[in-house]
Parts: sequence; structure tokens; C-alpha cells
Amino acid sequence: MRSIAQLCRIFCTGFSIQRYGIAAAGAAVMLGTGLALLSPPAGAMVFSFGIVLLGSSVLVPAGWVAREVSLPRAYRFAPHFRKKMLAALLLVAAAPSVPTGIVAALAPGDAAILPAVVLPALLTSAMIWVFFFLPASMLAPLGAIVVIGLLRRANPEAIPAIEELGPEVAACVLIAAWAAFAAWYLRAPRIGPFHSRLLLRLDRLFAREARLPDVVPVETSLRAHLWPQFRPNETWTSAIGGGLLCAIIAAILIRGEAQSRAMVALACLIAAALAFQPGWAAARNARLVWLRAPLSRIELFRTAEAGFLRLLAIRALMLAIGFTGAFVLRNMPLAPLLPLLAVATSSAVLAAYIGLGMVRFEPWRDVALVGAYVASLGYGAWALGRGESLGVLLLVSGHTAAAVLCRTIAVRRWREIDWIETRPPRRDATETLVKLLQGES
Amino acid sequence: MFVLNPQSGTPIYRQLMDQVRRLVASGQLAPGTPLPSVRELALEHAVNPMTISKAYHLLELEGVLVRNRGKPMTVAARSPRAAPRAQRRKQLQADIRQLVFAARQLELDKEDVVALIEENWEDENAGSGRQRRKT
Amino acid sequence: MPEAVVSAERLSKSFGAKEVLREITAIAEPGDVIGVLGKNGAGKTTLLEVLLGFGPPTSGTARLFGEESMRLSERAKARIGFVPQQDELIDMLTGEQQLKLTSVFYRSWDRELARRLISEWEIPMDRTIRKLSPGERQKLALVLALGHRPDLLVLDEPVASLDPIARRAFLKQLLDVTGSENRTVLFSSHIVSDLERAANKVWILKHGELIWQGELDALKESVVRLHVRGRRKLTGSLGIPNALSERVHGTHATVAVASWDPRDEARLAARLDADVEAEPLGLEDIFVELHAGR
Repeated sequence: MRSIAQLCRIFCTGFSIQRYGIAAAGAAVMLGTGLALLSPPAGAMVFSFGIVLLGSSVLVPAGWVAREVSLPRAYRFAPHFRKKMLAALLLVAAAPSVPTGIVAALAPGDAAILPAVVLPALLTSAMIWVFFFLPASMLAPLGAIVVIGLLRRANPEAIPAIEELGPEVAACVLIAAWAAFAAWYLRAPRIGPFHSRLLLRLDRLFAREARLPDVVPVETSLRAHLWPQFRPNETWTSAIGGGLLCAIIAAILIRGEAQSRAMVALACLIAAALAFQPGWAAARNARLVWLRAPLSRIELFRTAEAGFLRLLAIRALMLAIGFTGAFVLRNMPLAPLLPLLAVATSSAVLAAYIGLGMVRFEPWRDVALVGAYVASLGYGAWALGRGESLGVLLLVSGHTAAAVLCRTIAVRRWREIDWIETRPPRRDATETLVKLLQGES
Repeated sequence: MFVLNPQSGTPIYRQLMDQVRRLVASGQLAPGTPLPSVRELALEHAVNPMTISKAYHLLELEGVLVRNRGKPMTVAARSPRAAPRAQRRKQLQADIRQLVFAARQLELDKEDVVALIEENWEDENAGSGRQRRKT
Repeated sequence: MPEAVVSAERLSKSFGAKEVLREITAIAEPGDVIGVLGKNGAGKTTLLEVLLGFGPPTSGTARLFGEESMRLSERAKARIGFVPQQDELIDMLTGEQQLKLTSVFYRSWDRELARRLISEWEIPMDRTIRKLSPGERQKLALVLALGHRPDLLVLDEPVASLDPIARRAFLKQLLDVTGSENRTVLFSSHIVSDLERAANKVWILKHGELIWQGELDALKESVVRLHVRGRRKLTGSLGIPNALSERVHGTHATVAVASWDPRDEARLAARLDADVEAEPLGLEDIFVELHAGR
């Protein structure tokens, strides 16, 4: 029992970013409650933002963490390891249903309990599975968006919407899905990092194979060490090619409504926020080149920054071509596209600098930063969906100013970066999880 | 030629020096015999070359070995019995103490030990054909 | 006096409230092969990493080739080779690619040496690093550190994943590389027998403090086990100075002492009215005795 609780704790708080998110969410919830006394709508907005932040911090990485912990084959020998993992996952998936169910039960009137229980469970299960099976590929986020888009494009007559089916059917579907997952999970000999061959081939298309020339330039080597998961020689031409491909896919998926505009905006912003991870990883992976590269700590920072900006520019070019092409192909007005790209770029740059700066944990400052950033993303999605050009302008300039501030913080921290404490992430996360698990089982 | 035990309480250089001295004193290393080079010996026994070189250097200072420029070290030209008896007795001291210690543990008395020594002496003499000496 | 290759002066390192290294003062001169010995958690890895400039010391200084470790110049870094405890190889690349990427940083990279080591140690170079066994990864990490012929080689548990044959081969290679030139080696290991073969000096770390720093030979001559056989029953403490541990059984006693002077033997025998015999100890026994009691 205790080990299952321990596993749940790992899924929800295994990564420091989850802990930060939870802390920020807690602050938002408290702030919202307080604000509600003064101005109910504002308080409610902040409160619900806090809840959403809590939910996403806990749940979004949970599936991925679960997969990472399932990877090592040695754990098959730990007693009842897979069963415990499954139980923990189920608990995490069911957790949000409890408060909503209670609220529905206690609410005055005839509020039905079942939908209040089933819907959150459905959402969390879906999120867990999406991230559990997310293939190891840099196209993964894009792939997720494609899948979601395809689902929405599914012919409405052929597949009745879930609302029409009713919560009972949804509950049965959910239980069946979990049963299938459980059957597979308990028996699968290897829970791999899922390599989709298609995605691997696409990866190679977008970035040429890492066949290194005989004489490798030092910058390429540096980049390869700082971001091992990215191919060391992504180029501008691959960006154009990828962009055209994106354009065709996006043209098929976009439905051209205002609703889909907001969805696209949100998807882009979430993708932009992912720029945090490479920045964070670069700060840690720089340890690998400290003794090898003839660079001081500040010079290493500048190298990481330059490499990163180059990568962002390539990706941005790819997305710009993709969306512009899609809009052109669908004869949609290009006007709303510009603010979207501007906000996406500024969000990505800011996320990158926040990531580069997170070498030393100063809890209060970092939590405030991340909280503010997430809030700005929410505001951005809303402003883009509503076409509020002034709001977008404010946001972009706000992001730029924040990026400059974060850069100064990052430079200061890199001067004294301590690589004995902050190690490269590859081994770090799973090894601490491993140690915790072995202690229990 | 040499048996070096890095795990022993006796430092490696000391072991090597003791063995070289014994072989020279017994005549098995005749004067002028070249010794293996520092690098050869170090690689053969997988020990630090500085240890070997320290032993050789100290033996050179004692006059047991001679350094030849560009060539391996050789045994110095001196008669095998040149070392005074007292010095040779001292070299055997450590082994004798170990023997006495072991005998005490086995609760054997001096007569037993002397008898054992005499037995083994006979065998040695039969093997090497040297004259018997009074102990 | 030759310039110290590695120098630590009152070096301390704490992580928050936890003090890992306490006022360590030590130097390594050119040509030294220094074994760093200590229990798990004594601070060996932290010491090596602070000396190499991976993190700032909390107080005191760490220097390599006379330069402050946190601010090593290009010249200094080119003379250093490091093999960390957890190898820092990139899983997604093949051995060949990793070799290429690393050799790019060093002007003095010796391709021939690298090829020779790879074929002698039989490291498969065309498989991705993720698929290599821990022993093969360790060997590859060693090649990456030796390839540019560094003047200072720092190894953190370098042979932990190797089988005895590979360990012996590595040791021979290490001695070959260092013996012929004035190279300095600093390595930490649990495997005491390897230290006894290869090292000429040892640093012994206990709870973050350097309790011994000096020649291995001197250490072996200094820490001995005394066997005391009294004519009468021995009671209480024998009052032997610098005693590390004491075991008394009736008329026999075994006392481990540090800083032993052979001339004290006669005096002690007279005082205790007993036979005193000093037994020299191997490094493993010395290590155990130095940790006895506390």
C-alpha cells in the first residue's frame, strides 16, 4: 500500500517543475479565494486558473514519468512492480473525479453525479495515455496536435459525439480502455521508448542524419553535447522542407472557424512553452563540455544562447511557412496569423531564457516567474481568440521585457553554476525514481 | 625472477630490494648480470614504475647495483660473500621473527623448531649441494 | 621545487547545511600517481569535481597547473583528462561519432593511440552507445580521456565496471602511459589492490577530512599491528600512544597503531613486561584500522 502511495507521489511530483507548478497553483487558489471577496469574477478566474495549473502540473507529465519508470527491464523482478505502477496510475487518473463528484453531490438542485465523475476521469486518462505513448521524437508535440485535429475532423454522423451517448456509455468505454491498457501493461515484456518508424523517418527528413563529416566543426560538437536529443545539423533548408510539409498537414486539419483559431493558438503556445526544456537541459548538459571546450562559463552561456536562438529561428521558420501555407491553401485571411506568430515567438524566447536561468533553485522567485508565465499564456490564448490586437501587443512587449530580465538573471547564475549539484538530466530523473522504488519494494 | 606482493605490509620497493640482495648474496645473480629494465619489470608485475626505480636507486646507493648509461642496470662486481656475516644475519631477521611467531601460535617449543630447521636444511643441501654450516 | 599540478588549500565544500569537504589541504606534484581512498560518501567524488572546477568551493582554493579551477584557461583544460564515475557519453550516438565529437576539442589528439586502445580493448565502435555494456562504456570513456595525452589524468572509480582481466589491462596501460613521461594521475577507487599496485601516494578521506596524505610506502611503515604477549594477564588499556584499536584477550593483545617508530618497540616491551611484535599491514587492513572505533 505504502509503495503505491509512494508511486503516486512520484508521478505527481517527480519533476521539480511539477513541484513548482503545484506551489504556484496553490498560491493562485489562495489568491483567488481572497480576491473573490472583493470582486467575484476576478477571484473566480484566478481560482479556476489555479485549479487548471494544479491539474496540468500534476497530470501532464504523469504519463511520461510512468513510462520512464517502467522502462528499465530490471524492475520486472521487483515484486508486483507492474501491478503497483498500474494501481498508482489508476489512482492518479481517478483523483480529479473525487472533488468534482463531491461538489456535484453536495450542490443544491438536481446535478447529476455521474457526468461530474466520468468527465474528469476521461480527460485525465486521455492525458496520461497521450503522454505515456508519446513517441520519442521531436515531432511528438506536432503529432499530438495532428491527432487531436484529426479527431475533431472525424465525420460527426459516423461517430456520435460523447455528449449524445451519455455518461453511462462513456463510463463503460473508459473502463474497457483501462482494462485493455492494464492487460497490455502487465504482460508486455518491454515497455519501450516508443519509436514510431514513421516519425523516425520524418525526423530524418526534417533534419539530416547525424552522419558527421570527417572534420566536425567545434560548434557542431558543442551543440551535440548541449542538446543530445536534437540532431546536430538541423539546417535552414530542412526548415523550409518541413514547413511545406506542415502547411499541407495543417491545411487538411484546420476547419477555418474562430473556435479552431483559439485551439490553434493554444496549441502553438503550449508548443512554445516547451522551449523551456531545451534551455533547462542546456544548462545541465554544459557540464559535459566544461573540461573539453576551451570556454569559460560565460562563454558557454553565450554558446548555448546562440545555439538555442538558432534552433528556435529554424523551428519558427518552419512553423511560419507551415501555417502561412495552410491559410493560403484554405483561402483564409492571413491577418490573424501575424499576432499568433508574434506571441508564439515571444513566448518561446521567454520560455528558453527562463529555462537557461534555472540552474539554481530559488523557490520563491522561480515559482513566481513560472506562474506569471503560465498566466501570460492563458491571457495570450484568450486575446488571440478574441482578436484583441492591443492585448497581443502588450503581451509581446511584456514578454520581451521579461526575456531581457531573465537573461540577466541567467547570466548571473551561469557565472557560478555548480555542476556538482545540477547534473545532466538524462540519468538524474530516473535514477532518483529508481532509488525510491528500490527502497520500497 | 622476483615475486612481488603489492598487498603485503612490506612496501613493494622493500620486497624487491630484499630479494635482489638475497639473490646477489647467494650468487644466483652473478656480478655483471643485467637486471630487467624498470619499465619491463613494472609492466610484468603491473606496479608503479616509480617503485621499481626507487628500489634500483637505493640498491645503487648501497653499491649492490651499477648504473650503465643507456644500458640496463647490472649487478656490481663484488664477491658473493663480501657482505659481513652480521649484515647477512640481519637480512634474515624478519623471516626468523615470523617463524618464531608462527611457532608460538602452534605452541611448539624451541626444540621442535630447531628440529624442523635441521630437517629442511638437509633437503636444501641435498638440492643445492652446499656445505653444511653450524646454526 | 616543481610547481604543483594540483593544489588544494583549506578547501571546503558544503551543500546547504551538509558539509562534504572540510578544510582539505593537499598537493600533487608532476609524476605522482595518487590514490584517493575513502568510504562511500566520504567525499571522494566531490573532492575531484571541485578540484576540476565543476563547482565553486565554499571556502578555500582549488588550483590546477597554478590556475584557479573555476577559471581554467584553454591551455590548462587541454592538459587534463577526466573519467567521471557515471560516464557522460551521449546514448544516441555511436562510439565512432562520440569519438569524433570529442577529438575535435583537442589539438593534441593522438589518433593512433586511440585506435590502438580501441582494438586492444575490443570496444565495438559502430554500435550506439546505448547498446553497449557498462564495461564497454567505461572503456570508451577511458579512451576519450587518454586520447589527447593529458598531463593530468583524473579518474573517479575508473575500473568499477571492468572484469579483472580488463582491470589488469587498464592498469598496465595506465602505468605505461604515466611511467614513461612525467604525467600525474589522480584516481579514486574502492579496489585497494589496484591502488597498492599503481599509486605511489595516497590521500585518505574520512568524513570529508584528509586524514592521511603522503607516500604509500611511508603509510605502510607507519601503521602497524602490534602483537603483545605478556607474561602476566593484561588488564585495562595498555596506554599505547596513537593506538587506533585495541583487543585484549588474557595475556595477548592486538593493538593497531599509527605513526609507529620501530625504536619504540624495546621500550614498550620493557614497560609492559611483554613480547612486542610489529606486524606490517596491507593497505586494506590499514584502511579498516583507520576507520575502527569512530
